[in-house]
Amino acid sequence: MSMNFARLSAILVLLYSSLAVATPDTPSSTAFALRHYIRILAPESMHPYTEAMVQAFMGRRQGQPPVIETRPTRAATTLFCAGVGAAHPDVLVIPRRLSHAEYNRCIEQGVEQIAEVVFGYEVLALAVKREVIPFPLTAEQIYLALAAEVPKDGGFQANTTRTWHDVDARLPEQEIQVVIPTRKAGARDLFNNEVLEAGCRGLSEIRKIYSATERTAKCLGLRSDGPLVERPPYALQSHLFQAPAGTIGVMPLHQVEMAGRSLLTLPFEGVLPTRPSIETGSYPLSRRLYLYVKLGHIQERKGYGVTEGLREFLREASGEQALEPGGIFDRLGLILPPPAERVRQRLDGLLLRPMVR
Amino acid sequence: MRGSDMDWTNKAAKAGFLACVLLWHSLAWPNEVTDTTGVIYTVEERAGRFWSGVKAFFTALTQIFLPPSPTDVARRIHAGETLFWTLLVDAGYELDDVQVTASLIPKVSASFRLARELSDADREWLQRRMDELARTGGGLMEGLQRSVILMLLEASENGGYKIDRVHLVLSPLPEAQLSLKPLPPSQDTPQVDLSKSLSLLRYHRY
Repeated sequence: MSMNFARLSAILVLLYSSLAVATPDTPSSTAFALRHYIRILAPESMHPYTEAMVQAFMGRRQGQPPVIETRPTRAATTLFCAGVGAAHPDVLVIPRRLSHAEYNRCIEQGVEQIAEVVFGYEVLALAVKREVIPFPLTAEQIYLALAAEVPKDGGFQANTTRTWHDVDARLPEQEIQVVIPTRKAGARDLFNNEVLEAGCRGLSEIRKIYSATERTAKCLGLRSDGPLVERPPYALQSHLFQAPAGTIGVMPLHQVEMAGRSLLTLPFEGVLPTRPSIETGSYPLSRRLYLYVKLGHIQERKGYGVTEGLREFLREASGEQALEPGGIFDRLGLILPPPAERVRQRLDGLLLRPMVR
Repeated sequence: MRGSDMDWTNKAAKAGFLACVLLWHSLAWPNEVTDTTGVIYTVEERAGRFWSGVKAFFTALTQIFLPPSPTDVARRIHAGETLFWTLLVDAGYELDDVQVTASLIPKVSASFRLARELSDADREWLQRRMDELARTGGGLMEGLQRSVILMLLEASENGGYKIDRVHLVLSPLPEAQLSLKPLPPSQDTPQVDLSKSLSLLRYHRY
């Protein structure tokens, strides 16, 4: 395994140096590009990462900066797959992988060659102060503790639970106090999907609701009678330190790690957030973040192509500066993909290898 | 689907084997047939033994061709006995009816109806599970099951139509029939979507 990794790295270095000689960073003539700036589509939750990519890209380059267009994930994907040419965007940054249907739609509409880069894992942890005895929680238990209305006797009733023991007899007699990220944060998006919706998905009363909108509203409707506090992601850690003991903070894993030994993580669905559990996908409160680039928009070596600078953008986003420890994504608190995957992605970025779904 | 089929096949094989042993035992007719106490059988006793062996053989044979009871199939599906049933429920489908045909080649099938629309989070979750399953591999049956779920997922993403009914033949040969229904036309769901989706579905099926 380590030999493979070393061999792969050596090949990469050789390839990179040969490509660096063969292909200058700026094509021989940019006059042939149909567009002189990159168009990026991203949902609001992906803005910090997209902006960091743009800043890193512009730090080594002159010319027009990329334009970031904000769209919800599904709308962004539909627009990205709508076609090839100067009228269509070049880059898509989303918090999930392109689905089979979306990928097929892309191919049908002529977007046949797409580069795929996993630039990190967004991970949330359930954290408590050190003096608290940790206890495991499931998505369903958290949903039943925090929902405004909970299923009861075939219908829904206002949530009156006060302690975790009221939610589940196996849990301690500890008051429900939870601090979660505010609505517009990417971390909240992850919390909504992987805790609230995942927690209510299996309940029979929820399963009886046909409309997705109605069901989502029931799953995401949170109580406002005290046990729940919303804070921006950067303020979660400080709030948890000041909160009474027993308060659970739903916060990015890197914040818990930064707090050192003063915070403990609770097992979620029986799994603790560790590198192996995140990389294998067994820790459910995490998601991979994806960058997609239309290879058909990249300028050829002679400079012909749709978008100027797209090759360099892809190289930058999949390169060492971005994906290595200490790089832009690491600094933003993302958990980086494992080394072998980073090397493979860098190689794919250099060789402009398209994804296969 | 595979688990329940295998149970049934095992049961039939065991019954067949037992019947063959009984028949063979009854047909074994040595010159001096004695029981353990040394009593010599009469011709009537021998004929009686032979007849009971033949009867047991045919009883076991009918068991081979008898399909499982519909309630048993329904119970297994409701209990989510295999991953496929749980995935089907997660894809928004509920068991509608179970059909069992008793004949020389018995047929077992189940119909599912669309019970709820999928939210974006449901789709993401299901898509991730499909990706995990694709990574772990699996046989022909798992591949077929996965493609059924992917078709349902794909249909749920398209606003032009819906798959309102899934008919699964469990035995003798597994088969899936999906019933497409166009949604009432509205301004933002052009009819073009339907033909596009149908062609996508064909692409997936073959």
